[in-house]
Amino acid sequence: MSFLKGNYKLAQEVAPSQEEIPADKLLEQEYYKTALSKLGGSIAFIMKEKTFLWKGDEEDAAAKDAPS
Amino acid sequence: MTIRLDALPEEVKDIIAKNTLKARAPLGIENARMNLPHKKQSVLDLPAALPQLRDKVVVVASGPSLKRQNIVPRLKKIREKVTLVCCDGTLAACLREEVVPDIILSLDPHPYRIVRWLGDTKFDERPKDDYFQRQDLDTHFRDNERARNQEVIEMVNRYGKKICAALSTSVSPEVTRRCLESGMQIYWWNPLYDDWSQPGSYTRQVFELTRKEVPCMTGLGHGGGAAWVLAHAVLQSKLVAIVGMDLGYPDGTSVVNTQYYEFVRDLPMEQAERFLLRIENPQNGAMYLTDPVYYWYRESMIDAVQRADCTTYNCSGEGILFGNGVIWDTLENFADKSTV
Repeated sequence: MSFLKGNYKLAQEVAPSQEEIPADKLLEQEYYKTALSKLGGSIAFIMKEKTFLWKGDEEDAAAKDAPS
Repeated sequence: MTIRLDALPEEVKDIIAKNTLKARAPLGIENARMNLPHKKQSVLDLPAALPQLRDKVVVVASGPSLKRQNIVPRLKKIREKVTLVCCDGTLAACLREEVVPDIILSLDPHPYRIVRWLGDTKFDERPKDDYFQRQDLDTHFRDNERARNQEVIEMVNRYGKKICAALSTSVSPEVTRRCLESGMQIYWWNPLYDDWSQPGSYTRQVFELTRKEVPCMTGLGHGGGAAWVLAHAVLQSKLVAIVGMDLGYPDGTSVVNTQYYEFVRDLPMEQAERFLLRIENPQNGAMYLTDPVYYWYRESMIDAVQRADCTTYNCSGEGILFGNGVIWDTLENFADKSTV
C-alpha cells in the first residue's frame, strides 16, 4: 500500500469506516476461532509424492547393513 | 449450510494439520518409547504371517453406514474371497457376527479410550468419560457400558489368537497390553508424522527410536486411511474396497453424536452446529453432514487414491468419499471382481 501514498490527492477526503461489527458477529468469530484452535485428527501425517511407506534413506539402510 | 466440495479453505486445513501434529506427535512418540519392549516384528512381516493373503482386500472403517448398510452380515457372505483389515472401532461389530478379521489396525494415541474397542480389563479404573455413550462408531457400546465391555473382553479373548494386530507405535501401551493378553501377534509401524528430511522431524525421531527397524507409513489422519494404505502399500493388493468410511454423518445427526463434538462442547449448541457442513452425495442423492476434520480426511483420501498403485472401490453405500478415482460399487460386485 505504501507506494500509493502521496501519489495523488483525493478530491474528497474519505473518513475511516465507522461501521462496527455487530456484537453477535464478533461472538461468532470468537467461537469459530476457539473451535478452530482445537480441531485435529487422530494422527498427524504427511503425503509426499507417492511415498506411502518410508523405510529410511539410503544411508539408513547402509548403516543398518554394516557389521557392528 | 450446503457447501461446494472445494469450500474448506486451505488455511483451515493447515490449522487442523498443525493442531494434530502438535497434539498427537509428542504423545505418539512417548507411547512408542513405552511400547519398545514389545517390538519384535514390523508390518513388513505381515504378508508372510497371514495364513492366506488374498488378492482383494476389504478395509472396514467404523462410520454409521457399517450398521445402516448391514455391512458385517454381508461381509460374512463374501469372507472367503477377501482379506479383511479392520479398524479397532469395528472389531466388536465384526466379532458379534463371528466375522474374524485377518488384521486389526490401531493408531490413535489416546491413553484409555481406544482400549475399550478391544474390551478394557481396567474399565473401573478409568476417569469419567461420556465418549462411548454419545459416539456414533458403534452404538452398541452406548448402553450398559460395563456389561457391553465384558462381552467385548470375552469375544476378543476368544478370537485374539486368530488376528494379527497392525499397531502404530503411537498407540497407548494399554492397547498393546490388551492385544498381547488376547493372544494377538503384533506387527508394528511408525506414523509418517511429518517430513523426515526436515530438522527435528518427529518421523525421524521415532524411526531412530525404533532403531530404524520399523517402517514409517502415512496414516492419512485416521484408522481407515491407514488401513487402506496398509492394504496396498504393505499387503500389495491391487484391488482394495472400503466399507464404513462415511467421513460424515446422516443428515439430522445431532452434533453431540459426532466425533467433532469433543472440540465444540464448550460452545452453545447452535454455534457448535453451525460448523457442520452439508454435502450431497451424487451416487445416492442423499445429504450428509460432515465436520472440518472429516472433510480434511476426505480431501487427503482423494489425493492419496490418485497416487496409489491400486484401484479403490468405495462400497460403503453412504457418506462423502466419492469421485476423483474412487469407484462407487457394492461389496458383492467387488468380491466377484477378477484380479487377472
